[in-house]
Amino acid sequence: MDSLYKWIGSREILHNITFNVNDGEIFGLVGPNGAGKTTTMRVLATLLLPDRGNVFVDDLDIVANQNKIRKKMAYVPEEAGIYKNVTGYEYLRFVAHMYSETDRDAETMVNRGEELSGLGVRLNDKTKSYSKGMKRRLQIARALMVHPRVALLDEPTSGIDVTYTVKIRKMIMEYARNFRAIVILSSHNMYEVETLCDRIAMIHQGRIIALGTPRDIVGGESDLEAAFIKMVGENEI
Amino acid sequence: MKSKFLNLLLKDTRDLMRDPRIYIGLIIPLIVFGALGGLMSAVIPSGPVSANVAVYTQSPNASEISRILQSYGLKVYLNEPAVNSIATIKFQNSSITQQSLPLHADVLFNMSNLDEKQYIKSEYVQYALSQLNANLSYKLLSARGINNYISITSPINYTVLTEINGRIYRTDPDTLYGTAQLQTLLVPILLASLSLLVAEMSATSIAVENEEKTLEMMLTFPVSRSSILLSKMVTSFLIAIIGTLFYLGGMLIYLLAVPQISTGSVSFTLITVPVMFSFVVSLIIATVFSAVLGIIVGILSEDVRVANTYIGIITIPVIIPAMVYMLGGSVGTSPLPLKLLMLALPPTYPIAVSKSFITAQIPAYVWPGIIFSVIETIALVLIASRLLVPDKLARIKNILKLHGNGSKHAND
Repeated sequence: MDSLYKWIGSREILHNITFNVNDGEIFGLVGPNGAGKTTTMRVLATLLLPDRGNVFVDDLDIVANQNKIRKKMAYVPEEAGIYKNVTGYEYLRFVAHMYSETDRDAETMVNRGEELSGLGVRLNDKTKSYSKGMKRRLQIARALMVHPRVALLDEPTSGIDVTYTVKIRKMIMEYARNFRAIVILSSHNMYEVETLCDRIAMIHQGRIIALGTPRDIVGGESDLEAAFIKMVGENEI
Repeated sequence: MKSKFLNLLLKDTRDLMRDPRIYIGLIIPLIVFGALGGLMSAVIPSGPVSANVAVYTQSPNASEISRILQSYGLKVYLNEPAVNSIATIKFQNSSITQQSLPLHADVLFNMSNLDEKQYIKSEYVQYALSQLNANLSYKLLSARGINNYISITSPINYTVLTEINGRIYRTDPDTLYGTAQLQTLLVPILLASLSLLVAEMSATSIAVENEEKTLEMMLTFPVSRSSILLSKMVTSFLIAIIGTLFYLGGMLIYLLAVPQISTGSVSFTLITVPVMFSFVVSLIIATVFSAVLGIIVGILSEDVRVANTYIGIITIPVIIPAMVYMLGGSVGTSPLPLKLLMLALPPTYPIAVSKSFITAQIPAYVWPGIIFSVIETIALVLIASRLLVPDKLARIKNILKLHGNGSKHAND
């Protein structure tokens, strides 16, 4: 992502966002609500077009190659819903057929999704009977089962209890490591990105105010949260 | 290998068909018309009608008059007030002889409620009175030695034929017109309900995806936007067809429950194959047009509540020119703005073709209009698929102020 700018109306949402992510890396976009994390994710997901700047995935410009990029990428928006009247299995099968060219590939993806979700026989139930944590696991599973080159996870553990949070973090970690895939996640949970991400971009008011490994950014402070407060100043919080 | 479109179609159908709320809309016509038919049959007497009449006369023929009226189902109270009287009949007191004819009688109907039940009873009384005349006439003619009564009262036996565009029907124009009216009666109701149903379903199905944030996710899948829209349209259309069948089923129950209303006309099939073909094609296009309108409203609506608020406002004006056409307006004689609206909007054409049920001649502008409707509908689909870009949508929603509570993304 090179010098990305985005305006909504006359308001500047993103200002000169530049970063790159390597194979097998978990990259975190961290910042408070309204910082511009979701807008950055939506540009990467081909939902929004950059007003200025360039975004490439494997040397493919995302504006000129939207269809090709969509095949390489899976996006889980924050609070993404699931069709209430379909079962977990049917949902996985639906997504698998969107990404696969053959029934066999789709079946392999569904099996993978079943394993990743860890929902077992509950996959036979309609998703409206699922808890928030179960829905989130199903969402992450459907995104990772298609083996995307880039997985975009917006607030993957937001509002989920500790048991499911730990499981989801494990899923993400294993996926990036085992398949040398790129995972870009956004979070306002500083602890999460500190423990999960290889590198992070700290965003505030649409600008990157720090970029590097969590350890580099923490520096002499006690943790990321303290480092963030120091960077933006007490009065800005 | 299942195509991506079929995959979408399967998902949309499954999700929609398993939503119990859908069935409320589908079943309501069945329940409403069924209940209406049941209530009507309770109100309208279906068995032998007991019509009480008070007959006042001092004529020597009083008992004969009373007997004849009773033989036609009336309960006669001779020279006394009748219980629940439907009519009071006062005859002149003279006897029925050749010299005293015609005998005068005053008939006063008591229509205190002016309802269906009283109306039917009054029909019985009138029929009985006409038969009283016929019976007495027969008696008088017999007394003169004339036995071929029918030949005297109806000396000419007519054979009435009606020609419509080269087709000969063995009936009079009144019956034919009445039959045609019955055959076309359902068309505007069918069109209006189908258009509203399909538009509402399309709008809701896509507004639900907006509300539950599933549309955003789907737009990142490697599938074309037109496939997403087409799947929504086809699903809504299929549900609308099922809804229409329920609707017609309800109408059938209604008609069966109220036999008096459904009878009275000879059954003719006036509709020719080309007319029926044109009707089906134009109805399908009008329905698809409504589906696309619904989809556009759904796309622009942040949630179902907003979609439902706007769908009636958009759909009803689209049907109005067709309804004006049905109620007697015509393309040829209407003022220019109305004429243009009629020609431009697809719902006009099923109505125009339904009028051809009588004449079997489709107006010259119908098929060019149907082709124009197809082009118009395709253009709307393209516009709708262009709208499925979050950047554009955010701008349009800001202009139209159609935001529910979902402007969060723009800030984060």
